[in-house]
Amino acid sequence: MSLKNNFLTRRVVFNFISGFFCAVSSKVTLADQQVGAPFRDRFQTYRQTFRIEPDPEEAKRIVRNIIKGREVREDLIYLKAPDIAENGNTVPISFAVDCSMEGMDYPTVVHILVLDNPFPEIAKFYFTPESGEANVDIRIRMRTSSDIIAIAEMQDGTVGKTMSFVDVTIGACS
Amino acid sequence: MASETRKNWRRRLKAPESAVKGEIITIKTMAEHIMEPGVRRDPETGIIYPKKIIDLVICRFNGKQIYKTHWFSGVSANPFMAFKMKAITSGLLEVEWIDDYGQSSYKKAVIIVYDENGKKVIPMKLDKINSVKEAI
Repeated sequence: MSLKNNFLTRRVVFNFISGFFCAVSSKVTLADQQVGAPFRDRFQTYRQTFRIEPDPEEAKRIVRNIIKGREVREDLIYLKAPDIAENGNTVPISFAVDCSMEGMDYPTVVHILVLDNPFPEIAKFYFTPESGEANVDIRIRMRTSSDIIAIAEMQDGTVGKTMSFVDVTIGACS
Repeated sequence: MASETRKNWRRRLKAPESAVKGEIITIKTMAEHIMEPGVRRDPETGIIYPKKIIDLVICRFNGKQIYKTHWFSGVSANPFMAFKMKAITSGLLEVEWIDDYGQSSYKKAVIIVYDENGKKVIPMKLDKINSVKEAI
């Protein structure tokens, strides 16, 4: 009998009711927000980083963390980028990894970094032997004229890296 | 407003309808999306536009994942991507785009692969026809 009495106290009932109202109100506010319009939401501080100025040391740190002191092969990955890009918002680039996609001879990850961007990491590509050739075209954003780095990590642990410089006339962002 | 919200959901997938076995085919994808980097400000109010990007693209063939990319804010708006695939059996190709907010959208395409003799290569084995009938 004592257990039954303790279960439904006034405090528990109040907690349930208040929790229900909180859930309903939060749902309504999220639904009201229009896509693309500027708004402040609860998660904004969590979702955003307010650092806008590029930090060249961070890019070097990211590259160091990927390579981890292994020997770098220069003839493994080839990057194709334009010499001069008029618009920094869309810079078409493509890369190809020189390997037969059989057994252990395929790239697990290919990283693409732009050094002078506020966020230097741009994309990671994960391949499997079923994707017959590690050759991808993509369009990226560049803030100023800077180096593009492509790093390929192979399944057997070797690392390849290339760089190419792109001159940007009108930069992207801000 | 409805048209603007709809705009971010338009996806395109271009793959060849048929291929020869062992051939390497190119697949072109394009997603219409404002890849908002989370850095731009509204010129009048000064409020930062919230970050909204596609951060994960998965490609599956016959249910098996063959290729995957993680994107960050450096990918351009309306992102175009072309990649390669090896045609081994005919089957269903699915490309799925997943948003920063967890919204996902996908496109499908059927690729029919022919043998050197001009026969279709089917992903399942047809040695025992009765077993297939029983399964259905």
